[in-house]
Amino acid sequence: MSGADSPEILSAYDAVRSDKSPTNWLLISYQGPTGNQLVLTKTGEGGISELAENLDDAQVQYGYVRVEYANDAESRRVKFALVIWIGANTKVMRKARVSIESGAVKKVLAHHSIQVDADDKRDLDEKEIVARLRKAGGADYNGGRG
Amino acid sequence: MAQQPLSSAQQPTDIYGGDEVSALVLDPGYCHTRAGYAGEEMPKQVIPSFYGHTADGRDIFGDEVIIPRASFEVRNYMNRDSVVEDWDVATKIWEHLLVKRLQPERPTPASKNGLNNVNDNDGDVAMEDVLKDENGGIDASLLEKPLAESPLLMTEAPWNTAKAREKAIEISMENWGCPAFWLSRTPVLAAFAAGKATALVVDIGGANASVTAIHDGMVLKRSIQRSPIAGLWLSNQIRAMWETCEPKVEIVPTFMVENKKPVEAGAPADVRLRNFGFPIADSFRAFEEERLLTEFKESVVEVWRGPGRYQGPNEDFARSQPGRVFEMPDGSNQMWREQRYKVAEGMWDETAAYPITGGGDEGRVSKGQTIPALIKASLEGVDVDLRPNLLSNIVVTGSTSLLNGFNDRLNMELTAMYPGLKIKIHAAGLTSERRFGSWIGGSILASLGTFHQMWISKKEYDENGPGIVEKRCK
Repeated sequence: MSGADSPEILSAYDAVRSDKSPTNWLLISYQGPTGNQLVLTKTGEGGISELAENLDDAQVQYGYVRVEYANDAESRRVKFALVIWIGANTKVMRKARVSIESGAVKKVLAHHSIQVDADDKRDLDEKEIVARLRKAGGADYNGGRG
Repeated sequence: MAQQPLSSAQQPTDIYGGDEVSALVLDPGYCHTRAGYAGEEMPKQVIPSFYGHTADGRDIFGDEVIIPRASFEVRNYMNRDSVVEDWDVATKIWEHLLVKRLQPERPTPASKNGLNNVNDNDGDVAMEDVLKDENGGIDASLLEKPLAESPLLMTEAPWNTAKAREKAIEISMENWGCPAFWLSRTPVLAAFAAGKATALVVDIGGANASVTAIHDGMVLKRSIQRSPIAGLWLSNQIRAMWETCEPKVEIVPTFMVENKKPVEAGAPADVRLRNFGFPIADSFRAFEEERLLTEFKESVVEVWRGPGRYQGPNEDFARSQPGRVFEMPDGSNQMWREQRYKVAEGMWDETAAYPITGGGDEGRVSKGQTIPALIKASLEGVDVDLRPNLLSNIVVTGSTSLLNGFNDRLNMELTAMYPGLKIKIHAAGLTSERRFGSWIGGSILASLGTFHQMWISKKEYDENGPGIVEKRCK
């Protein structure tokens, strides 16, 4: 119904999750100023910072990004974050429908450890997101340092 | 709003279908009452909750009817707790809004309006014939209840009483014939309008300031806090400031001014006042003065952003800063410097409020009534684990929150009160979003396809009585 499960979005989702593909983020936006049709806008390889640059202040967008971090040289962990971006200049009605329509997006981009609600590009600070992902990781073999 | 939408295969077909139904949304408050169609961005009708009572006992509604008249009083059907007090007038004013103002008068169909009869008996039409349909029976649609096709969503304060709720559903079902009804609490709708299902809603309105925690679309009852330190309190602070400043500022509302000449800043007014020939009621004068005070709040009053609170060394600093000029309706004007911060300071620091002349406790701010105190008390009524999530999702709404510097000060006070926790304040930039936050949330809710299974239908009301609203509208 919402187009969130279109073939482009599903293949982009697989690409971000795949270890072999360099793509590590995807961005979904609404097709038009009204309605709830979603389309894949962009994908890329630059991680959270590149995703943040592509966010539009006047739109609601959904991002999915792969984050890698390490405790030490041997153990790297890969986790996924879902970004729900509500631009500061978004129209009222679109903003208010996010809590309902994000449900459809979450069904498709189902595997994620955290959900980041952002309305300011500074909310997508890599360090903060990695800290949240570490907490979501559960086991902490680093003596409480995350 | 944690439920997933039903797929169309599962959607029941006997409920109000689709996103196309034009439900009505009514949001009554102490200062203004807002009404409009669901699905729209703004309420089409916003009128003051103050109405006029004429000499011959009629009640008239709307901003444009409040003009100087003989034996004319201005009253309000809500009380200062933002709850309906006078249900007779409430029914009339809401009907006026929903039926007369929102729905334009429908002209009688041409076949029935008596102007197109071929066998015209000199224009005479027997009155019973006007109501008859083609078969000679009475056309029931011409006798229909005013809102028979419109589901109605009404808002209420989170502390509204069960009796008031039952009365509301009674009026909509029986007086207006609404096919469906729902009652929603204003903070839930304000959070929804901001796109959040979990938030700490700080609503600074006209009569009341309230702080409520919403979790997954439900109000956490123990978190509801409110205080009268809101828009009208601020107006009283300005009155107190004008009483005590040198020279004293007289409040001359616009309607009293007949003719004025420009004068130098600080000089007395050069004005000719109108002579009405009849006494002006105090309630009318107070209403008009409030208009002037609202202008002053919008253009001059500011909240001290920090660092630190206003009282103390910051006061001297503020005195040296450039101020704002405000011209009164009678032409007198002056520069306002530090006083414009002081009037709003009582919201944050109870020791800084202007005492109201005439003594008594009215207007004095107690320790638990300031905004930071309200937020603290609200969070203390909430589970410890939820508090950080709520503090990072604060939704600020209400017209009085539009004061310049309000959000910066709120951020400063909260970071001082909760060091180390992430504080994030979501305050809509558009003035209309803050003034009509609850109405907008109601508009979205009533237009959602998935919401239509939740309405209380007329059938359910007929079977269960008004008590159903307590059970269903949690």
